[in-house]
Amino acid sequence: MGTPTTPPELFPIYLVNSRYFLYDADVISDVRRTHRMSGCLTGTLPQIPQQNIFLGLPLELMPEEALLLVEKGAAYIIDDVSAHERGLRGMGEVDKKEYLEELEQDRKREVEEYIRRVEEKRDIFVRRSNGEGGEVDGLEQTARGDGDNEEGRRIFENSSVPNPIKASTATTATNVLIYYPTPSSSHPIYHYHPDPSDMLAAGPQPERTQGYPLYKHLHERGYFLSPGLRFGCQYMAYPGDPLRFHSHFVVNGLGWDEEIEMQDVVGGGRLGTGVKKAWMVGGEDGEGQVRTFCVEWGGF
Amino acid sequence: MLEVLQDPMTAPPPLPAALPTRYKKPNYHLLHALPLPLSVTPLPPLIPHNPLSLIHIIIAYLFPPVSSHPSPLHKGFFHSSTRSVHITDQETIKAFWNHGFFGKGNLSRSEPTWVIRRRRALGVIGRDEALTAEEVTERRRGERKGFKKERARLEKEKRDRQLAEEGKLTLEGNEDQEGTASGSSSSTARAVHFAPLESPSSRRRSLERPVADVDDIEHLQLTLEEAFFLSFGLGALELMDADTNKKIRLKDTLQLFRAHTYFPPRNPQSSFEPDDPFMLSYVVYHHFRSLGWVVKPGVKFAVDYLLYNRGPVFSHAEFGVLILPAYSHPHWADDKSRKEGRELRPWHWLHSINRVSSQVKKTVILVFVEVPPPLDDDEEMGVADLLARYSVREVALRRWLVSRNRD
Repeated sequence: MGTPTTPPELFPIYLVNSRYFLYDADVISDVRRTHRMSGCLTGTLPQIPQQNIFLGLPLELMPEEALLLVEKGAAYIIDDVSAHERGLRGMGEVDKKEYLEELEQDRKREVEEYIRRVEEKRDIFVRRSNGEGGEVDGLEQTARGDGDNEEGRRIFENSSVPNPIKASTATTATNVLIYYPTPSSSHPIYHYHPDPSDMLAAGPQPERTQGYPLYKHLHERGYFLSPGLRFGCQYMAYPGDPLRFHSHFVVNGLGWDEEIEMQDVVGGGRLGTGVKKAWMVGGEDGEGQVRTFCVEWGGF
Repeated sequence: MLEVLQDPMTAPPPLPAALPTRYKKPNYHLLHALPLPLSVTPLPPLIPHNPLSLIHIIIAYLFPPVSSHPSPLHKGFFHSSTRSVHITDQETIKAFWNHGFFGKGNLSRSEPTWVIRRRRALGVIGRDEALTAEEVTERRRGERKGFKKERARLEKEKRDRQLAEEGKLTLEGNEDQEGTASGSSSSTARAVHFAPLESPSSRRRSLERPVADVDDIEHLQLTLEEAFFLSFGLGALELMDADTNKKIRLKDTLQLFRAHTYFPPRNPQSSFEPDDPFMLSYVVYHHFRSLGWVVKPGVKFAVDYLLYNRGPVFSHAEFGVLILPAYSHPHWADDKSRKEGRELRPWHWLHSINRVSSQVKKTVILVFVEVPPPLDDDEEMGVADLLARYSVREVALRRWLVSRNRD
């Protein structure tokens, strides 16, 4: 759907309920490879919604990541709800017909494929029961007579169907249960990409959070940052891809003049040292320079 | 004949002598029998058919044979510079530490033991005389470490022997032996290096036994909450101003302490908000003390208070307390800045506290103090009535792990 004016590397980030999502696996791997952002896979299986060990698409980005991608000019924000509605409503009769036809074509193709597979299997079966399989199963062989193709078909097909040839042609209609494979990326109808210049679909710029300067500072120095909520911090800083490295820092972004309680410094020191990391705080000073400080707990 | 029979009884059995010396703790159950620095005497029994027993009870109630409070009261000196109350009298220090574990020594980590450690270092008292709790712990740990080292060595020896029997210990074994030999030689070199550091003190100890004794310059520090509980809650402490050496009245004490929980301290004559830090922390302190817990400050575990079941010498603290003000009174409904500033804290903060606490096997209790609306200017209230306006809610918090909490 990309228009020729759009550079191919510009990709949309979908904003749903003030959270930022990526749906395309190719985009996600590109973001990880070239922009050093891992994000968080959030999709789960509809049938096992409680399992959270293996999560899949979509990928959720932190607001800081989304903002940085937008600032770099690599992505743009799309308000997913309005884009989706516009996409559906903006679809003309022709588009709709085309889409439905396409669906029907897909379905037909699937059914034909299915029938082809069934026949293939049946041929194999028949050949086997005529040939070497017959010697093993002598009793059945005699009952079936001398290897009639039709007999073989009857055995393979549901025996209640009177005419097997007719039955096999009847499967082209709607009585075949087919499982479609779920595509790894959503259909353009549901995720139609509005042009980045399309002001109506554009979502608001991600908010500049308090931790953003520190996030950007560390990211520029090659760190992978992931959300650290369950570790008791804002970000975890990994020296490379989180799949390859343990994190080095437990990071909290603060305002330059923000007051911080002694107790929280103690807690941070214990938190980091307890898991062999350093607790880092940092922020942007008045001159736009980001400065960082590490605290470690040293028992006497 | 009789003597011969008695001999094995009186002689110490040989087995305990062979065992390494165990450093025994003092009998804490006896030492800390009283939960608070007050003496309690039971009333005489009531005998229903004997009216004299009733009179006896009344007399014992009105004129107790032993006063519950010490008669002059314990004295504490409030120092504005350290924002704490100093206790210098040895009897008072003993009473407050032994009965209720109030305060800490200003030169020790909890119990004031500086003078003992100093005396031992200077050789005034022997190496194993009057061991303090932390010294006992330190030696225990040392012993345990030594034991583990020895065990590892024996295991290695056994393994080597086994390998030698199986004939696998050939070249590698020789290399190993060389390795250990070089290791031991280096360790002896190290020992030689460290020996001079050790010897002078021991020589001095043996030669200059009658060293001039050390003056005890340590004092007990009470936090403001502890001091207020001892003076207002128990009536066992008389507070003096360290600068003027005058008594401080109870009502003034509260104002003074409230002023000193701000930094820099405010004027004690000014009026304070109902949610100033001292009121919140004192309400919680009083609450848990009155429920029988021993409450100690918990900065080192990133919580406000630690709750000990009987006291720090008996067991580790089981709970960490976080004080959070709650503004659910309708008066605060419009006060956005208060609600957002002190009531709302980020989630990751709670996670970090919870992680730190579960690392040290403590349960976090969030204690919400319901802040009452401020008093009118002309309203005068006693300290007890002022405190009665606060209420406390507790919520226990623990890290929940799927794998560990499955049935």
